[in-house]
Amino acid sequence: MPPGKVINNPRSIRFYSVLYLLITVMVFIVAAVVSLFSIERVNHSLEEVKNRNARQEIMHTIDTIVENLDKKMTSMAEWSEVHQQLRNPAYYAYVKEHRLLSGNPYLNSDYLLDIEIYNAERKSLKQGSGKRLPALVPLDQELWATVDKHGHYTVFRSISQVSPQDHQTRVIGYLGVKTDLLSRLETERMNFSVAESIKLNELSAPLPVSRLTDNLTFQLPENVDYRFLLDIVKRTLLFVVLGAMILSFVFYITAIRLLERPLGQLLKHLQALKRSDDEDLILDERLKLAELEEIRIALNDYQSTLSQATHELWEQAYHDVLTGCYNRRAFDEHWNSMQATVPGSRSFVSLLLFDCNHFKAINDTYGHVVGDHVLKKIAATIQQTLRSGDRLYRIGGDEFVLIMLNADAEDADQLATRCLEQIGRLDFSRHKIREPVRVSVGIAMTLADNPESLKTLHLKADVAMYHAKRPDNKNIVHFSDEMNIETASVFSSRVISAVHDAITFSDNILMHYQPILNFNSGEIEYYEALVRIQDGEGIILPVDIFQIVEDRGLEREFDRAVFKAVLRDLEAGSIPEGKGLSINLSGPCVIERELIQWLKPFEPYLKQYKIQLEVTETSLIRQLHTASHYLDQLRSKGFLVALDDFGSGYSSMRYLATMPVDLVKFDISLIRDLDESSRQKKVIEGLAGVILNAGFPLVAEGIESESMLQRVKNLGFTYAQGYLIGYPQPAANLLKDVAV
Amino acid sequence: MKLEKVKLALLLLSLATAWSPLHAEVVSLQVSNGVWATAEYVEGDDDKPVVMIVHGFLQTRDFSTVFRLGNSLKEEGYTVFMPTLSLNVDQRKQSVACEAIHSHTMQGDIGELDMWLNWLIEKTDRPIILLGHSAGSTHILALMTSKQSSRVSDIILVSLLHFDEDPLSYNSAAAYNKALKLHKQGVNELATYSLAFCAEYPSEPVPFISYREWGKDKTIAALNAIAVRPSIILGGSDGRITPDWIKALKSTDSKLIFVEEAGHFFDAHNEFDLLDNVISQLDKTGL
Repeated sequence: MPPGKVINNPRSIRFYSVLYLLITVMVFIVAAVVSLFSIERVNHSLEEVKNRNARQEIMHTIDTIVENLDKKMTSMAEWSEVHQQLRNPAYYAYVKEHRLLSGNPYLNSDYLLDIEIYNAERKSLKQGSGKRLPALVPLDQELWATVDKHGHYTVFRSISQVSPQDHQTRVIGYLGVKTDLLSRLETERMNFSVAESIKLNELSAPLPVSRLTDNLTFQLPENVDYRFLLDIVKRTLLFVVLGAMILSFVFYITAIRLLERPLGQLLKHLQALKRSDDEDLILDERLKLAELEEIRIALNDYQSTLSQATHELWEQAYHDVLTGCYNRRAFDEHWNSMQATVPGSRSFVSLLLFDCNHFKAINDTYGHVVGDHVLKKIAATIQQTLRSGDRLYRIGGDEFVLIMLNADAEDADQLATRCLEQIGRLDFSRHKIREPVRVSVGIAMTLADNPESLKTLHLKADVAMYHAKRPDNKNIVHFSDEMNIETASVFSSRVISAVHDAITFSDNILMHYQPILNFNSGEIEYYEALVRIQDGEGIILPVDIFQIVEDRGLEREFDRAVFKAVLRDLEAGSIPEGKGLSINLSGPCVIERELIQWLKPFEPYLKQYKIQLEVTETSLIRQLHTASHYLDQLRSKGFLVALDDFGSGYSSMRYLATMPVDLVKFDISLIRDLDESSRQKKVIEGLAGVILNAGFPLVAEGIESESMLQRVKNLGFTYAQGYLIGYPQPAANLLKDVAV
Repeated sequence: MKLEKVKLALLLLSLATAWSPLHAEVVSLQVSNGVWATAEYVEGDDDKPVVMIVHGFLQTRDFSTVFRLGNSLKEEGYTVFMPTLSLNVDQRKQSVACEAIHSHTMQGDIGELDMWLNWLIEKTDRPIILLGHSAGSTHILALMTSKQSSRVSDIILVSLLHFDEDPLSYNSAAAYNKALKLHKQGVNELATYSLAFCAEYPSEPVPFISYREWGKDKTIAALNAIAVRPSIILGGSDGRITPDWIKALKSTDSKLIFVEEAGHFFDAHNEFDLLDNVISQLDKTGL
């Protein structure tokens, strides 16, 4: 087969089994025929030898008969009565009848046909007779021993006598004898031929007896042994062929039973696995062939392992690692699935949103380890309180959701109350948390047969939660339509939809760029990219966008959409060359392993643009090691890293020294503090000095007045950013400003 | 066959092929036109007579009785002469079957014997003793009734028979009468008769009669007529010899010698008895 050529029509085991069966039977049949042919050929050779032997035997027999006859005729030639007749044939007729043809002491045979005595002149002593023998002895001595067409042998010989006078031998007469040689032959016992079958060919004239054998036909005796042997061989060959057919058929049946059917079962099983049918994916029926049985066991083991691995993967994919609850993915799928299946039912569906109050503060105050512990305890407490079959999902940092089927408002309220009571009993003093840890619950409920209501149920629960978190409200709030109107600006479905569209398409993202002034050059050195979403109703600002993004844990996806939008502006050449560009990274994105890959499209622009990545100190500190790892890689590629909002969190100088940053941006709150008391001002000024002295360029955010600009300039800040320097504006305007 | 027509030709033919340590000599003699007869001559001691042995009916000199007797006599030193009657067969060497055509006659046979006797007389000057067996004895009697020779000193007739003896009840008498009748009628055609021990004897009437007429009476008459008193040796157990024949023989002047237990052919140990008796007779003859 040529390389690369593929067998288009693979054949089944049944096909090859039938082919094998046919070939086997054909081989045996051919072998049988060849054997018979060989036997027949050997027999033919033997027949030739036998034929030759038979012909020699017949020839020898004829010679013997002829010799015996000759001897008898020799004796007759000396018989006194013959000599008497030659002397006085007066009573020859009597003598011929009574002495030659009967009562002959020398020739007395049933096959004797005629005897004639001829005188020296070759004439028969009985003139005019010669019924069988001729009246005259032939002159040609070659005709003295001939066989006629009847197989009658006619022989003549001379009768001689020595003359007493001169002692000369003289022929005094002749003797003629005619015998039925062929009949005589038939009485002989032949070993190599059937005597009775000896026949003489058609003769046109008498032929010399010496040529008689050549003109005889005969049959060979039936070779009983050969026939018997041949019958045995034929029966044996027939038995062998039938045996081969039976064995082949048995082989075929065995192959079908042991191979085709089990393989068919395995194939069916594999096809079921491929379809991921819900049927039992373990093949229970034992297979008769050891190798196939091993395959079945191995397949089942593999399937079990795979199922277990799949289950584990599923568990990992659908469970929150920290709390053990179902995660957001599980919630989305369950929620979508429920929306598809529940409609039609008149039962209630309640959605309960649990959110830990001031969790960010706990996290920031006591650290993430404590924060994580608080979350785990809350989740465990809620789960212990749930009804059987209820699922708790962690869909955000401190946000949990519970779907209650067949539960009305009262049921949901009771459950939420129990949960809060249990949470309220939790003791976190071991973690040095002295203030009470409180959880707010937003509850939304609808009838299951209202699809539109189901779609907005989550949003309603969000609104209820929003209200529950208000200081003056109860911790458990049921959604009402009034709430919807009140919070429409914050939690409008428009923002949510726009955020999701931005993540999906990024087309509606309209990046704005705010200029940053370099005090040293007095020029705008770079711009900070600030996101906006534009929909049909206008521009959505970051304050609304990130509420949704963070609530729903969409930071990574949203950052990526922002990258695409910035790239789009870069590709469009909207960013003035030679200027820098600063892009904000969310906390989760900083530790995203795909971050390097996502930012790879920016690398070609690093030659024309100084691209700076802004990360908050909080996001860095959370997983400093991982973040540093990725950021170092990016810095090695040419990216710059700016520590954003410095002073809004821990603002630890120790951390700053280890952070992979090239530039520090003072949080606007610190800048504003410069207007505060001299003590706080001095701290800020000292802090700035330390950072500057450490070699970090320093950016002052929120510069909105000339006095503040002058102040930070005097403090040695490197850059200034704020409305005084320039408002964020679309990329299209940047080139215009540069041109102006 | 008429004797006068027999051309006597005495030929001493040097048939060297037949010479034996006893100097056997085969002599051929043309006994009729174109028919030659043969005889064996063995020279014996000079002081012993010549014995001419005549074989039985249709036999040859090689027949066992005469062959053994001849050989014994040769060994005894007798000159033995043994002719074979031709029976009209040229240089006959075989016996003639009863069923063969018999054209030979007693007269022809006697003529041949006469020629041989003459040849022998010419051959030797010693006494000649004629010895016949069975019908050969009859032939000697027939010869001697017609021939007078002083050279024949003795005659020994062994198992002498006559031709009207019908020991096997072949009704030969009827056949003889038939032949006589035909002969009288002048009919000379072949007929099958019975003669002596031949149940079938194809012959014309005359040849048949020539033997058959040698019946008991003619034989006894011959015995009485011949000049030499013959010695007749008979087997005591010869079934072919009837008491009547013995009685007839005894009525003659012949010397009868019976050998007890001997049959017609003196077979077995009887051949020695025969030989003893023959020698005894020969010794009496002397030279």
